[in-house]
Amino acid sequence: MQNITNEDLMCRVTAGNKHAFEALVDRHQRPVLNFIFRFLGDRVEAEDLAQEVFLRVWKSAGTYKPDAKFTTWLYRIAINLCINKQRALRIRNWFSVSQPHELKQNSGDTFLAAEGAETTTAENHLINSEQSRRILNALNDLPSSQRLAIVLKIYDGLSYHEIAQLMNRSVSAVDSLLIRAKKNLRKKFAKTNF
Amino acid sequence: MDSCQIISKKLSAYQDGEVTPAEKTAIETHLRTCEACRTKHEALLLTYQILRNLPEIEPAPGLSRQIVSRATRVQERFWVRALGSAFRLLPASAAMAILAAAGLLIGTITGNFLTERQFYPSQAFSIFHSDQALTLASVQVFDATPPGSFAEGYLKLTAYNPEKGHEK
Repeated sequence: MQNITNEDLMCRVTAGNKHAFEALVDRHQRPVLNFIFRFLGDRVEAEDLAQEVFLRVWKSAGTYKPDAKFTTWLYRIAINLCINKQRALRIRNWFSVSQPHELKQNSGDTFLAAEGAETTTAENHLINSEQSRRILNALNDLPSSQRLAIVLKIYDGLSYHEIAQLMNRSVSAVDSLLIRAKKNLRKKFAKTNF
Repeated sequence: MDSCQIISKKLSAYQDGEVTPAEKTAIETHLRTCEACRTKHEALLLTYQILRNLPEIEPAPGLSRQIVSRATRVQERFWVRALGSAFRLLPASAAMAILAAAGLLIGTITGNFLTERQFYPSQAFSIFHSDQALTLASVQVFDATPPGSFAEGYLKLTAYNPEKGHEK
């Protein structure tokens, strides 16, 4: 199934082919998981939501149009679920007693456990996890539209045109969002002595 | 708007490779001569560099298998739900069918009683398949002046001739 395009695999999924679905999950679970993690800043939530994204792909396979680019469709599902989750988390935090503004202390540590921590020295581990937590906090402080644009551009390498399509905005609006996001991040990093 | 303002607005797109070749040349030429814009550009580069330090996370082992098995369970649950609802609807459907059959039977018997015909459901098809019986029944039912009606009385009055008496 390695040489088959995403779109062809998706057509097979539409026909109920479980192996095609498995191949799609294998191919895209990593980028989807990382996209959600960078947007929400929480590994556990990201893993749950990544599962939800693929379940949605399976359930909504009938609505997929073969002429549409699969990754655009997949990202749209992921974005919608992320925005819904963020809204739910905001409400939950608002009602909770200890409104956690900053991300959990272990948010940055989590990926090191899965990234072959035995090869990393204890010192590097601490530096990396602290740095990662600060980056995630800075991203988390951005308004969600700016965060979405920056994650899609910097980490997922999408073009302005693709981001504009996904966010239902014009290319110039995406450009403005990214300018503001970068300005805000620069200020935030300067404050935290990066 | 001076050239520095124009260039600083384009720096982000330049960094992202979203400028035209002509714009790229203009920006690079400007950056070579303008220290203020170069500083801004370096600050942007540093921001990018910091953001890129965020490592990727690895999916938990067996995540894809978990997703596929969850999806399959969802599908199975769908069929179980569909069958379950069909079975739940079965008593209601049976009751509706019995009521409809009873209604039809009562309606037929009452209708026959009112039209004073000896008509039973068992004879229904034999009667309606006989052209003669169907014609007779139609004539009786659709008689424009049924016996004892005002219409019949009116017709008799208009046809009354005192010399001849009642015309039959």
